[in-house]
Amino acid sequence: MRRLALRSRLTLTLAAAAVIPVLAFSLLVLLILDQSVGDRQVDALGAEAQLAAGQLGSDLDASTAARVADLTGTGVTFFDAQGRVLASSGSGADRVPPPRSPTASATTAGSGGSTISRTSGGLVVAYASIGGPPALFVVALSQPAATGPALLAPLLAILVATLLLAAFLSLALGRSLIHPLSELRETLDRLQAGDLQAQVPVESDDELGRLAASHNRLAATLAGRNRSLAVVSQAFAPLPPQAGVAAFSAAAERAAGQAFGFTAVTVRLGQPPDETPPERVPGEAFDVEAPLAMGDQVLGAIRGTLPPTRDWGEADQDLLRVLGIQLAGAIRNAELFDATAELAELKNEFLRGVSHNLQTPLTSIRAFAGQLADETGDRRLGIIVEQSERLSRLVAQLLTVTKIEAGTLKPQVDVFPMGALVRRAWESLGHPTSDLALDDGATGWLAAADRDWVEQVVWALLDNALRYGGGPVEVRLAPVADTAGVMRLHTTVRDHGPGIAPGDRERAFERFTRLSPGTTEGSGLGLSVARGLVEAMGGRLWLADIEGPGAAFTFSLPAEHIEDP
Amino acid sequence: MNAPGPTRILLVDDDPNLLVFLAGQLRSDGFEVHTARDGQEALRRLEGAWPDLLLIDLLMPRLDGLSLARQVKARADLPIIVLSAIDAGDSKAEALEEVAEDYITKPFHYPELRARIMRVLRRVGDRVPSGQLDLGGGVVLDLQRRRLLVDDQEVRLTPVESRLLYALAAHLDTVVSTETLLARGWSDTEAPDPSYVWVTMRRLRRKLERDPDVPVYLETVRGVGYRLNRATAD
Repeated sequence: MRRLALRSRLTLTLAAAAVIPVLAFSLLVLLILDQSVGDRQVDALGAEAQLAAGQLGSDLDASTAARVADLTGTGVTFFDAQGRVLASSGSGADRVPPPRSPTASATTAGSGGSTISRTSGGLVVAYASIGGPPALFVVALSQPAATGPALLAPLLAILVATLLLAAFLSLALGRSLIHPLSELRETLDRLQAGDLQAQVPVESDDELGRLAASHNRLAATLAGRNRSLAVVSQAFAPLPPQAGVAAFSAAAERAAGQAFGFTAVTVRLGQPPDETPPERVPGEAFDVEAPLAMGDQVLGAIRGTLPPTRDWGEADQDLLRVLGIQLAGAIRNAELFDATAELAELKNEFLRGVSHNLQTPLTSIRAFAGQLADETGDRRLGIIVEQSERLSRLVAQLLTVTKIEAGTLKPQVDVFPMGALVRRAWESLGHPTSDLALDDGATGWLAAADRDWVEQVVWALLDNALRYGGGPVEVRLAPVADTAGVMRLHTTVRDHGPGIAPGDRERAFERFTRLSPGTTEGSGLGLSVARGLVEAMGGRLWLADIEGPGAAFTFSLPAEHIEDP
Repeated sequence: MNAPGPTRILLVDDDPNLLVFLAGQLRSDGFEVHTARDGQEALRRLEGAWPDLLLIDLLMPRLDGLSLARQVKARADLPIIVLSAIDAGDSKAEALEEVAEDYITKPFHYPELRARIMRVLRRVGDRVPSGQLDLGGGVVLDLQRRRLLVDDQEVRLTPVESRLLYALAAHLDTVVSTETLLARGWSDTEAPDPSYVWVTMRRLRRKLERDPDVPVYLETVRGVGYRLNRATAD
């Protein structure tokens, strides 16, 4: 649109510049020509009238008039002193008004006493007195008013030609002026859209050519700065946070060399940069510097040496400062990471120690009590075994919580039948297998999970059911297709106790939560740990909807169908 | 168990009560047992005579179980079972995978420990290359590190999968019976059943076969067992 406007403005300007002088000049010529033709007619007619008046006598009849008309090539009319027509040569001459008649549109004094007037009929009339003065008669010579040559047609032709020429020139000019401009605009559009490789062809050495060349330099500068920015922003991307201060410093030095073309780069830690930058001596290499800044804190400085040919502007300094800030952040992160990792390892070491120191005596207690129980058959020893085992499980639960939090749980997957595992867990709680109401609908299926973990989960659910719920406790196993059609082994543990209030359904899985008021028994970790373990094995644990009294917990595990090969 | 006489076990634990208890139990089950209170003492004992199996605690003063296991493994392929209060999900336990044959969490039932010992001893005599075993077709076994490389992509193996592949790799191109595989993979307290082998083989095929339904490496020999094959060149 703008391009069209510019082009039409150019055309209009060219047309005006060509047409107006031509038009003005032609009009002037026409006027002057007209004027001089009229003047010469008047002079000639006046002289003729004078000459005729001098030669005429009193025989002023029609034949004399015709003779004179023949001689002069004009219309001839004779008037008496009173202005009456005496005779005329006819053919329009009889319409000549009498001298000093009010019908003569304009009367001028002709040369040598003749009087000139122009009639409304387009006639030029010259009156001359015969005899006198006072005049006895008057002779009038009339002629149609002379006109200039017919110049209108050539003039129009010239105008049209001029216009065509103007149009052609504007097209040609438009091409050479507007084409580079629109190319420049398209390139700027591409530049704006992010294509820093966009270049305008430099076709001439004029202002437009120089504009294109300086645009190209601008684009090249932008592209260069962009590359530097990319290098700076990616400086630490390949490094993990624990890479260490030395690795980050080396990466910063590499990036600075690449981004700014430094011939030498150094990172100094613990020493802020010089307050005043050194003066640059033209033609000599010089140093630039930026602080490794973290807010108000300065961890050190990064310093680079530039070759003499390289420019250094505000934008470059800003970019170097950004690199300094990034390096400071990376160093701080590395320090924090080391501290965190150290702390985490300390914590793990502590927990391992706690576990070891608690479990080792429990192992002995359990082992010897078990041995004695076998030897003597004393039921009280069986209780020691059960309770020491219970204590071990609670210690293990506490330690598992921290692993669930850290997300470091890794199951040792094996395949096993769920029914046998449920029976074992039931037995380890001190109950004979004959008490267990197990509905094993999963024969032909094996669970694919961590045996020890699943045993912990089942133990915790059974323990909860016996402790907080109430008998009879039922366990139901069933293979169930999940929403994706994959078969899962569902284990449901149901008691017939008071159940869980609707508002407590999710709270039951929170850590350190005991739903029975006033209870101090139990760690409040059982369900939370069980859920963490099940989820780490790719399953889910939830409170099932049941009819009737009690609570039912269900967990799902990956399942495998048994097929005899 | 190439040597005649009872199987020798070196038991290393810093809890004297447990040492006494376990040594007594193991001796009554017919093992020859030597004990050590820490890693240093264990190394000194090893200089005298090599046992058939090492039972070690993970946390011990002076030289911990992991370092001890590494030093022992560097010298000989001695089966090692780790006893520890740290469960197998711990980061330290993970490092043990490369050196320990099995792992048993404290507190444990003695019958379970005995079952594990028996299972580990069953594989003594099986030898597979200590490095990597290239099965061809882009599949490489790396049993020391309990992993497979399929087209250079690491695939982790579970302990049981690793044990079964170890038994099969020790008899490459030969049929290994389902009973043998069951005895190698599971201890007696785990109520072993042939279905464990069938299902685990199916799971293994998903890990190393291009098309688990048309196995190339893990071949079923009907009515007998399984055979590990190298991929034949196309």
